[in-house]
Amino acid sequence: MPKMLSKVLKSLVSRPATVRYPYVKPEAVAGTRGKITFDMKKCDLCQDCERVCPSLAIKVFPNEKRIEYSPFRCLYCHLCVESCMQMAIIPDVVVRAPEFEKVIDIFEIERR
Amino acid sequence: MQEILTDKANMFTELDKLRNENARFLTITVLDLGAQLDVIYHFERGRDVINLKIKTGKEEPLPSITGVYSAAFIAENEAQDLFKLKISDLNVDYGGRMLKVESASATTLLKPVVGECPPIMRFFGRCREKCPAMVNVPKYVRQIALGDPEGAYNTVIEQAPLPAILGRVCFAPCEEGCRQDKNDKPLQNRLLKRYAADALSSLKRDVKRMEPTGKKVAVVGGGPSGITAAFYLGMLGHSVTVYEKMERGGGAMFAFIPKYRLPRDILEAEVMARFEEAGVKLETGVEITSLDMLFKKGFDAIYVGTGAWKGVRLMIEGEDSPCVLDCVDFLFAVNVHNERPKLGDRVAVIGGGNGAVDAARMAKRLGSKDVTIFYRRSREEMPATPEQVQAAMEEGVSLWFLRSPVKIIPGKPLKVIFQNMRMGEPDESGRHRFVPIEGSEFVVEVDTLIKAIGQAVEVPKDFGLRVDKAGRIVVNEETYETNVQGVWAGGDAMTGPTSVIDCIKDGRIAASAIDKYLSGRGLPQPSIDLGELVCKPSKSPEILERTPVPARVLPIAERIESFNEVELGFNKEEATKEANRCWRCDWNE
Amino acid sequence: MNESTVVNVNTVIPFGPQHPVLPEPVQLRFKFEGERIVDVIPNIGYVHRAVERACELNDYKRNVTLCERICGICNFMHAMAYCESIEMITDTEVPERAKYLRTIWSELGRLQSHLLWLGLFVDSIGFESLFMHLWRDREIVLRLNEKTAGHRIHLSTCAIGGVKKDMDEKLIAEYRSSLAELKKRIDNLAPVFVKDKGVQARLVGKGVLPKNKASLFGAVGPTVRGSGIPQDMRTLGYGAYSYLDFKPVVYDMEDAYSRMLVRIGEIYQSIDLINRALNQMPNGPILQKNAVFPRGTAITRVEQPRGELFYYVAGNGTNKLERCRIRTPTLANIPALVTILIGHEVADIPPILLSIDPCVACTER
Repeated sequence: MPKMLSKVLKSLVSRPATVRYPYVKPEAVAGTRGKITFDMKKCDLCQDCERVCPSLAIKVFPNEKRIEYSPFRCLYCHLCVESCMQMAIIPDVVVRAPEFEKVIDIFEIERR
Repeated sequence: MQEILTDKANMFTELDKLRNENARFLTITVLDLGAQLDVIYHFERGRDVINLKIKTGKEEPLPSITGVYSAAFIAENEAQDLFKLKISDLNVDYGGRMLKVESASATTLLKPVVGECPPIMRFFGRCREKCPAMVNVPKYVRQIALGDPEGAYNTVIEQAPLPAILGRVCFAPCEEGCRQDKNDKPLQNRLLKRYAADALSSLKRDVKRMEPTGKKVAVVGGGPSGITAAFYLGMLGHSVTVYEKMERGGGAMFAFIPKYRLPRDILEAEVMARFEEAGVKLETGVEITSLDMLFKKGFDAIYVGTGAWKGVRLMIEGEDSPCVLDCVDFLFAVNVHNERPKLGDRVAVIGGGNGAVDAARMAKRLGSKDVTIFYRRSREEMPATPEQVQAAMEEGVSLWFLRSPVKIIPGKPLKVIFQNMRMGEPDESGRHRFVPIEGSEFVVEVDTLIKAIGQAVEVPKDFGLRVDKAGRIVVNEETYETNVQGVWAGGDAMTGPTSVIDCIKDGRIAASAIDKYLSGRGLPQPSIDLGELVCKPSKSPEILERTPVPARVLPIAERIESFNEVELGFNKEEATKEANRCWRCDWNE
Repeated sequence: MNESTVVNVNTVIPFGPQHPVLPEPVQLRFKFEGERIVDVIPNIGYVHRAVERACELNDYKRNVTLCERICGICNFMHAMAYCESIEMITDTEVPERAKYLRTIWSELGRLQSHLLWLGLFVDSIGFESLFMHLWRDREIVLRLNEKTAGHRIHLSTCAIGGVKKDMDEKLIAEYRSSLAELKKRIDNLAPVFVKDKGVQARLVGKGVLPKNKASLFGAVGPTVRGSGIPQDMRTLGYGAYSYLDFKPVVYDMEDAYSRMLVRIGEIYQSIDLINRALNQMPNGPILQKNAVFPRGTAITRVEQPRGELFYYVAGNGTNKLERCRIRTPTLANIPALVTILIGHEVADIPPILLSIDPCVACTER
């Protein structure tokens, strides 16, 4: 009891241990599994990412040259980033911001 | 792990034995094996796991073990829920509603288990899809990487029976399909195929034909499509005879493709090896004029693969002057009759296909100093393989684009009047037309003019086959059967001049159809091999940056001195290194 | 009605599934006689997700990701048990460095889990400020996780045949300094648990599990190690434990207090094991892929923070499994829980319930 009392008094007068998010952003650690984007200039529609995704969040349509990615089904496990041989999936350390309704991101290859 | 097999009657004696040895109860596993269920009770005794296995039918009641091990009630209730078992005498029984799900069918583990399945895990690989004959490219590249050239050779022969030849002359659509082509570093599959053939000590394999069926098939024409059809039909057990007009087998490979691209000993060795394996008889120097005569001789089916040999005319004035050669006659003279015609110093070649490039390089080797290829369209529209064009330029051949001849004035030297062309409007299919520019004529003096604008098909009228406007044989699209019963056709004679691999595709399809007609089962379709486990290479910076192994060629100075082979192929280390670059697109990790 | 009839009336009160003290939904129906518990009927199944069925639909390599996400707190051990089963079936040899790395990350997961549990445990007694201090110290472990693999909880680095990520010298130095810091902080806080009279009054003598009955009920983990039985799956020697000279932590007071002491002892033991493994780790490759599809059966048992995890995997030679049976430790502890609650009063329910460390997400799969 006396030990805890000294701790409680100490923490009364010292600064809180928490970070005042969202006014102060915590430092980003390199290698954190954040959101992903698809670089369609490098993608060659091989469907490797679709086959490796554990939650079926990526749908590739090779005939229509389009990728549909659902950020709400995604687990942010980055298995697709590891499996893409053309390095067309770009990982980021920032987590995706919340939205009001469920969206699906559509990435298309530009037609020449 | 120790397993004890027992049944419902003796279950409790075993349980009491385990209880006396102070075994600890672990859990219960239920497996659905179709007709019956396997119920396994797991116990731990000391440090080992003991399994007690009981087989029971579905919907049969099972006695509970909570009398002996009272802690088993949770596992038994779960088995009741998931497998619709009925367990009697449970001490705490939830009645099949322990797992609070809306409908029991949503979580049941009884087979077949239904649900949203992940997409298909295997496909052919883009390289294999681009090959007209569906050669199993990823598989033979893997076999070369593992050091098995014999396996690679056999894999190619399943779909295309001439790997040593294809490794030298194929235009390799598989390399355009390779995913690494996006970074301009496609895998050099053609040279790998050549290595697999070169690494063997003898091209003849030790394989067995199927049982003789007693049927006889005649193949008219000994070109690539005829050789393919003869090989597959022979391996299926039929007795095949190939009739070839020239004095050697090979067709266009023998007559058109020059010796520095395809040495004649390799061509001969491979074709003879295939014929020996399949028990095919080759009769050279025989020209067939009537198909009915073949039927009368006792043949049950005929395959016509006579090819495309007639030269196409330019349709301009002065075409028949002396010193104007057709490419077909020129190549024939050099390759078949081994002549060395004197072409003079200045040679002009009209055309942009592989025939034109071959004629130009041949002219260089025959001593002409100034060889020029004139093509009426631009470089991108040129149908010749880019590697051939590059090789021609290295050997000193000049290329003039957007020029077309209008008139030839005979004499010594020949005067040829050319006209400049320009790119016009695209037509409905998107290709540009090329229109002449008025008033832009100019004169070129040459010693020899070689026409190389294509070949036309000419089938003897006595065969009785239906042909279209261009003279090509008309066939059923799926089985390649002609209008005459018992006669199939394929290759250049059906499609017009194409490449070796396209003719091989035709030969195989026709062979399968002929076998079915002769009450056989046909050849197997190209399939995906599900039994093999293939791991993708791990994505290190090394594999992403690996540059293609450079293909060795003869130095330029040595090339035009002789007709020796220009490409030198891979040796074992180069082939292994190149094959390890493959990304193995046919299997997900 | 006079006093005696009121006291002897039986009441049945449902405790849960939603309750401020419970971390996860489980329902216990208590039969009271006055204030004393007479009988307990557990009711589980609120978060059943049919994971075993999903394991049969998926490709056997995707199951690693699926099994890892059965539970949040004890995730690495699920992935490791699954990978070890497949390695046993396909005869794949895991490289030495991979074994050490797996051990280190398992122990990190155990640290994180015990710190979380300690915080919740004292919060259920009412000691909220200690809860806050412990969860702040848990952040050190979560930051280490993030630097290693990218996520604070799900490491996702276990793969069939080894691990996917490696540790370099800078990271190892950071591990050592962070763990030293953590040890200092736990040294500050541990005497409060062990010696404080208020905590002792709430915990000593409550939830007694006698030694001769513990094994019979099938209890596992610290529940049983607090009753004097040295049962720990790490003595089987999977991973790198056979090189690290491991002995289980055992106390024999048989009540909730001794279970808490077991877990605090395990925190110190984990820090020590990680330091020793970091010193002994050899260099070498970290992944060896399997050469065949799985055909056969295998049983693996792994020690989770809560007890013994049991995996039975049966493969049939294709890329889909025949059966994957998972038995988690809380499922084995529930019959023991039912017995040790009898005879206590209402206010003792939260500490006793939390002293077996229920992780219901694992239980329901």
